[in-house]
Amino acid sequence: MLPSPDAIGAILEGVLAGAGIAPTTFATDHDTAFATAGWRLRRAPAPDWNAVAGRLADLGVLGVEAWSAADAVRVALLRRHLADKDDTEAARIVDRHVRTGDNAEREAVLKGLMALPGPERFLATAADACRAAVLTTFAAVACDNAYPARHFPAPAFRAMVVKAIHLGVPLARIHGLAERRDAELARMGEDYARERRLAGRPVSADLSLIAAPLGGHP
Amino acid sequence: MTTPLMDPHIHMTSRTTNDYEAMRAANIQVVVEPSFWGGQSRNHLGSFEDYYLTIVGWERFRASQFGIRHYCTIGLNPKEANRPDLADGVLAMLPRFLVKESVVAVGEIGYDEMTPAEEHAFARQLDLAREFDLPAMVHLPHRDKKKGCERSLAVVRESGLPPGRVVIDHCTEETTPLVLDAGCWAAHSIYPNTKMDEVRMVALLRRHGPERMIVNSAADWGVSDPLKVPATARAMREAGFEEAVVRRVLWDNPVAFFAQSGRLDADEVAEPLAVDQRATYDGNSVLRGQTAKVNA
Repeated sequence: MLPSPDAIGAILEGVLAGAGIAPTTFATDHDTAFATAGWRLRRAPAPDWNAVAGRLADLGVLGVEAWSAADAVRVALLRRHLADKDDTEAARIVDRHVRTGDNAEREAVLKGLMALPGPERFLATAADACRAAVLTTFAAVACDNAYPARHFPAPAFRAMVVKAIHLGVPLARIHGLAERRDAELARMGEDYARERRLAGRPVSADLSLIAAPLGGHP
Repeated sequence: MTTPLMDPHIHMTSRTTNDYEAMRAANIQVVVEPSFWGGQSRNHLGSFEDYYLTIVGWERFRASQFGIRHYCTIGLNPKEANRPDLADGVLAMLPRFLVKESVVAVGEIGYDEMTPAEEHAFARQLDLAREFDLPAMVHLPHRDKKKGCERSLAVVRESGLPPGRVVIDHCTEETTPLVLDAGCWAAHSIYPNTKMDEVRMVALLRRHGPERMIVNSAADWGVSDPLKVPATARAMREAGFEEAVVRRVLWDNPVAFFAQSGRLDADEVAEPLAVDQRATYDGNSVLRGQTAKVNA
């Protein structure tokens, strides 16, 4: 099913209302509300996602069970802020949040990419975020997120998978890997395994998920 | 000894991972990294922006990998307040950073040569501290320190910022009593050769008691030692201070001062952060639910 932004927004706003959180409680201007949500909501319990996680997953938004109250508020704020913006402006705003946020701010945006209207507009930002050395920032894009499988071109997707192996991020956390893996990714995995063996280092069993011939062993 | 320690003034962007390891092994659990000069002057507004972003981003993550909670202070330092081409632009940029979660004060601010430009930036940033409900960290000049301290305290008084929300840093025998009498917190930077050493610090604590007294390493890219807070703990114990006093000066006091920001939570920082270079950040496993394959 294709993502339906309006349905996603209604669910998110419902979850926040259920948790008694109004996204604009702490400031009326977008940037301040977005930045301060982290520490203002530090003691807030995580929202109850149980009833809606399945529906959100059907709409392409995965992994919400791990979203904090601040994550949910930030995604909701950003959705509202983007509502009346054209494509260029929307891409600029999302990029600015990722470039000038602290780790938690940028990770909220990246985890929430699929919950934003027109997520294909944010490809450059998402691909660049995979170059992060902060493990949690990389994981915000790579793990439990439908965005890379849905929107990354093959080279960016492969680079992300190889980096995940290198960092020890389990490939089971990469959504859509079975569908997106290809012969070039298999070659990259084999080369990586050879380099590791030559260096006398252990080789992750996860490599079998990409290095095995397509349709071959598990 | 299990007394937790905090280094409330250390420039970790200049330090190595070996330092982080040694600090954590010495029980330093929390650090505050004040924004400061870079050893040479910056030439672009964007250099300030990226520096601030580094200390709220990458450096915070780097510290967490070693089990250390990293907070910072954001401000235009006094040396670069003298750059007419940059100072106003930096001051205008600060509000964007002063709302961020790990920012626990405005700082380091204050005087270097006591120029009018420094005074303007100092006063403006004390206003920002009030506006953003943050404490302020004021750096004393290294030359003409006593006069600089008196003038700094006068500027603080004029600002209307409650003195209990201001820490005056790099205090010495001459300036500590002035700062304490003004109602501010007196911080002491323990250095290998200059500023203040552990033995003199112990004497200051004997003379003035532990109230509003703070100790840090101010370690940076110069000759400095990131283990000066634990070294001071040792010196205090050897001098016969009770462990409760060691804890008060080297943990409770800095925690209480920066908790005034509303962003550093005293209960939260009392929980040691797990040391796990592969998998965790703020206690949440990135690799949750899986067995991480960590290389030997």
